[in-house]
Amino acid sequence: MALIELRGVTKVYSKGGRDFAPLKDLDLDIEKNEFVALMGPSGSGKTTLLNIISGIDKPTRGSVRVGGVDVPSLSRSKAAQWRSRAIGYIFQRYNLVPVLTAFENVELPLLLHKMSGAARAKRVTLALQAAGISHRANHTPTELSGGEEQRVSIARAIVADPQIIVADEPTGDLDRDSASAVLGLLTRLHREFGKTLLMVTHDAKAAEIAQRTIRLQKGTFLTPEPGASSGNGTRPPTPSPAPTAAGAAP
Amino acid sequence: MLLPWDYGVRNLQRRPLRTALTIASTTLAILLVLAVAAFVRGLSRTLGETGIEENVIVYLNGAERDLVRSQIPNRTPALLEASLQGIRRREGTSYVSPEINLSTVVKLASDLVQGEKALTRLGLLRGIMPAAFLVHREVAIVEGRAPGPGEVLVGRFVATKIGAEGLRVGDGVDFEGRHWNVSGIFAAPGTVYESEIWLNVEDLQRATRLEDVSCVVMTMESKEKIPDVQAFTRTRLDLELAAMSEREYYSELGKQYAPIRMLAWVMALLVWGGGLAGAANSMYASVAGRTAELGALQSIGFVRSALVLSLIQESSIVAAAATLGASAIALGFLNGFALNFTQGAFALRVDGTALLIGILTGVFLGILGALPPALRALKKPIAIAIAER
Repeated sequence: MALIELRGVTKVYSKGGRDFAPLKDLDLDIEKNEFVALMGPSGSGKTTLLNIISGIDKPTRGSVRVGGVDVPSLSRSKAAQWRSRAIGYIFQRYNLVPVLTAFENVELPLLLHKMSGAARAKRVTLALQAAGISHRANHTPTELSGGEEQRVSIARAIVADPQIIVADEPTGDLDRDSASAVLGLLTRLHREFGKTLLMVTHDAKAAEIAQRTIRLQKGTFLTPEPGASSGNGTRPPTPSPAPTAAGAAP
Repeated sequence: MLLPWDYGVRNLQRRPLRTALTIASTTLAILLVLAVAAFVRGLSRTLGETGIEENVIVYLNGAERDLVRSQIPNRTPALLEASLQGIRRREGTSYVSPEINLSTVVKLASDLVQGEKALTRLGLLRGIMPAAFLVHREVAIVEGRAPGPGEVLVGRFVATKIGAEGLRVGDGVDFEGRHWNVSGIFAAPGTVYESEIWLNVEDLQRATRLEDVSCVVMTMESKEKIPDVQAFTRTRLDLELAAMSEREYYSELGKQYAPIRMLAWVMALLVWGGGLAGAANSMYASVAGRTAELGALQSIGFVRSALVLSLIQESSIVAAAATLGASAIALGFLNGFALNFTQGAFALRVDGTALLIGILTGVFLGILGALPPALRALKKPIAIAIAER
């Protein structure tokens, strides 16, 4: 059974009295430890799909099971609790809390778990180290560059050791060097820490680091393009995850 | 699980000027509510606490409980003393005080210089005999001495009542065509007496050419004896007297001010509403730019109730600072401030009840000011919120 399993997922929005469907009758399986890139033009439904998988949004029709959990059936608060354990979310614009330091931002997900202050501090330190940003732990987001902010955002996504990391255009706002560093970090999360990654991107080069690329257009999956090494249904072998350090994800 | 306390505090530090202005406007709203509470408490206390439980006032039946309009013969006090059992006596002295209550124009030395341009000052006079200090035992001379011939003893708030800047021992006042010297100052905390001018009843009778007194105030051995006095006045119809417990008299007087108290509370409510709108407006502005941040916190796993509580916490910090500031100002500047009213003068009273009202105002401003903007911000779907710039 796949870690993420979507069947007949349709999402319909009503706007100005008119309905439009960013997702139409989608089926999708993503295995554990798989790294999937989701590509497509603006408005093709990539982010909507990501949000439905992570329980932030609900489908109009269809079923979504993640790790055996029927995600759409969860209430808003239950979905929040489930998300805090199962999903690490990386945003295009980082969405860090500006008044908190990097350390405190990374600590936020752990506040939702029963854990001593010392244990929290240890895990935050490990996450910051894994993201290569521990030297900026006491800085607030306004004192960080975009690349640094995204590293903090990644540290925040992995600190609670979720099985799944979803990243919505994580390099969209970054320069080439920073983007390259962030992609390297995501690759490490997948290869060394065995995380299942689902990444939305516009950048074909960024998508190359994924094992599989799914292309969306007008709410439906496109068949693999001729000559493409990946696409919906083709799945390269999954690498073995490296052991995690001190019980924490990083 | 709640967000860290620091989150709220640091959010307030994001825009220090706006936070300072919000604290200032909230302080003002709470201060105004405290001022109204102090006004009502002061007025209620003055009229509600004037009088001694065992005291009874005997006055002219038909004066409609207005002592200024009451006139009873000079011989009445002696008659009452001889006819009634249960009047308190000590060392051969009966606690029977014939008194004249008079409202008249009082002039200060400066008024005489200004002539017709001078302010009209209406003073409350009480003609007394030494027994007055026995029956009104809450009265204590705090400076000078009891009045002799041509002298007056003034209450602490007389200056406020007549609109003067102050009256000291040795100062002169003019009324009823005569000049009087201030022989002393008395205090009677929380009573209407403090805004009265006391002088010898015979002096006042001579000055006003009155032959009667307004009332007789007597202290009975216990309050249970008061009905006996009332029974006596009802039996001796020829004397045309009525009797009423002193406490009841001033309490009834206080009821006349119920509309003013009600108006004051309505004003306080309006001020409170204004403060609430201001607090909500500040929080709207504060959370408007944080939609994406709040969306991100929800996507991490914080439930909406935790975020609402965090925003209330933030708003409550402002309200707490404002409450402290307003309470300090009220205690420092409003408490004891004397105000004039028709029955005399009274001091604003920032007591425990008034402070509690101020604190509750702050608490409600903190909670209710944050709720609408918090709920509005968090009503937005997370998927839309996190995409906002």
